[in-house]
Amino acid sequence: MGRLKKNKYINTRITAGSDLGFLFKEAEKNSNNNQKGLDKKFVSKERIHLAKFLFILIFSIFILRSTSLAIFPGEIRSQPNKIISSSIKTPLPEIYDRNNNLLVTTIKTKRASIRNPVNPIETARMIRAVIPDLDKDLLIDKLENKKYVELADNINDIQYYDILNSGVAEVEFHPVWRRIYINKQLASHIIGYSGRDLIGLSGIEKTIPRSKILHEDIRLSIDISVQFHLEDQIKKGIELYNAESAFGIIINANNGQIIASASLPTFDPNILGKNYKNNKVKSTTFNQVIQGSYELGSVMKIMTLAMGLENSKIYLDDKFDDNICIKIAANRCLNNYRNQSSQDLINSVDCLVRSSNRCMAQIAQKVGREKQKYFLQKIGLLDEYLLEIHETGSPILPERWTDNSMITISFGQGLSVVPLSFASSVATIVNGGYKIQPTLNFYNTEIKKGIKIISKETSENLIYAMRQVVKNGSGKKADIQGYAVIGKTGTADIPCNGNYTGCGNRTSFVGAFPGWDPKYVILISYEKPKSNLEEGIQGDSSFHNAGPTAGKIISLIAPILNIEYDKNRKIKKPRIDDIKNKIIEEKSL
Amino acid sequence: MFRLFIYSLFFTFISLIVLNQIISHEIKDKVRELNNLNISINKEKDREIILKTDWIVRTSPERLQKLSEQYYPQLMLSPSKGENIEFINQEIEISKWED
Repeated sequence: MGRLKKNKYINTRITAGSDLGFLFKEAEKNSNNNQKGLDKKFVSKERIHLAKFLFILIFSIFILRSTSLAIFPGEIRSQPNKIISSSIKTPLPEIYDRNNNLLVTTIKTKRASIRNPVNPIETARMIRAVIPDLDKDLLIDKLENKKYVELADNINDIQYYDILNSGVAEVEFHPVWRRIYINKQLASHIIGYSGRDLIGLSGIEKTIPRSKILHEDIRLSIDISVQFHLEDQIKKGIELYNAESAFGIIINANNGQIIASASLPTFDPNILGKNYKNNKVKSTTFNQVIQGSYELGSVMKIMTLAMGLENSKIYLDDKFDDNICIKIAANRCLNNYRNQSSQDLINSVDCLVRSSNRCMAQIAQKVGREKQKYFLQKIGLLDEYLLEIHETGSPILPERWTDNSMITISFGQGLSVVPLSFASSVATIVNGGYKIQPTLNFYNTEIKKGIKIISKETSENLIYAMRQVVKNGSGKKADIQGYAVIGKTGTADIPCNGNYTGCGNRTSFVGAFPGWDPKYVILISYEKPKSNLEEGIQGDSSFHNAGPTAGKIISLIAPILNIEYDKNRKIKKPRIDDIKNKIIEEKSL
Repeated sequence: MFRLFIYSLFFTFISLIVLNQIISHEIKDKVRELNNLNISINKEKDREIILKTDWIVRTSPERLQKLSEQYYPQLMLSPSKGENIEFINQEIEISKWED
């Protein structure tokens, strides 16, 4: 204290905050005995207040801010990553059929991999105890030379715990997505399959990434129960008739929606990737219905008859000579199928019922080859067509459309057509003449009819003629009571080595039901069927195989497709005189 | 008076700090809970897809046909036939209801 009194210099130099306790004591002493000290005391007190005020202000700002942050945290930056990563939508849309049955979905599985193993040989031994599928030498080689080795995809829970318990510390697990085709081989050609990284490789699966409807579920026009009956019956048929392959298709005759499409032998898209190197498995991925093109044979006679009627060159009651010689080569006349020909004159309906080649050749000659080509073009048999899936076939036309090819095409040889486009052109004929566009998308809207390309009269005449084929002709075995099935059978020789003999045949049946208002068109075809005497099948023509199969399928699927059962309903014969008069009137106008 | 003010301010600050800590802890807990809920919801969703798939595998036409053939003597189930289905004339039915 005494030191301070002596040294005034120090006393005046004291500033706020350097030693507050010392300052308080000094100030109190000064207030008692020193008048000069009053000013000093006042100044220093003011300074302290200021310091306190500033300190409290800053401190309160901090506290208020942190409190408000605690109450209103806003966006927390560290957390959202977790939330987003765990709530990713499935990377590909699910596929449903027309009745909302799930066909394809995506599930999460795990992929096991290994990184930088310390002791590769020991690790390989431990891993192979859990996953015995792995090749020993290959695995050791990989573990020694690579930093990162994938062990297995799509492991299940049991394997997962086995690997965890195996004692290998370097194993990693990553979640991966896997596409599940629930119905296995059902409709596999339409749905297609996808590769390891969910990239679609065929069918609708290939269409998904390119279309705009990503992340919206897809609804196909396929009906899975109809599809099952179609594939099941054709599979049984292949065994019964010892055929090499077969296909079948059912489409809606009014709007072109594909209800079912089968191409056998078929494949299971779930396990295709493993066996894809096998050529036999690889060949099953070929979709005969959409990619193939075949000479379908006598079923083409429907087109020829429709062409004759549409161009008003013939009428239903016109008579034809079935024994006439139509020259197709220098010394060769055209034969009927297995040389069955009648001695009398037959009318156009009988031509179709008896499936007479000579008859059809005469009709084609009357119409002419230009008009024949034009008609087939108009009805859609000569064009490539568009579908929701990428792999589509194209018809094989004769190199030059000569008179001979005109005659052969009239009964179904010499022109390969895509089965799907053939079915849709038959649909055009039976639905009253409206062109349809085959589609795989399901539309629940009202039926949209396309442009009219065939007259109603022709359509009615053809329905009557096709009904006679099923009632009295070669399609008898497809005649299911109550649905008045209409149709036509066809047996065509398969060409091989530039020849048409001795290579087996392709039998097909094209039909529609119910006969009074055809709603669905069905096309069944077998490649190289044989007779099977043990089972009571006495021939290899379409009458013995494709027809009965189609009949069975129709009897099974008609109740599913909501078709009225009416066994008393008959298809009346169109009045030909009226049609003739109408056409003559139109011409005179 | 001034000192009292200072002390009271000090006390409020201290209590605010404590409150702050309590609230922020609670918020953190809630956020953690929310995350866990979200994760478990997604796990359940994944499991749901598997169950849905399993159900469809069990009701696939192929399996149903096999079972119906196997248990035909007991259950007598077979594909429906056309003649067993009767179609109702819907217009008449509706007019009846309207009356």
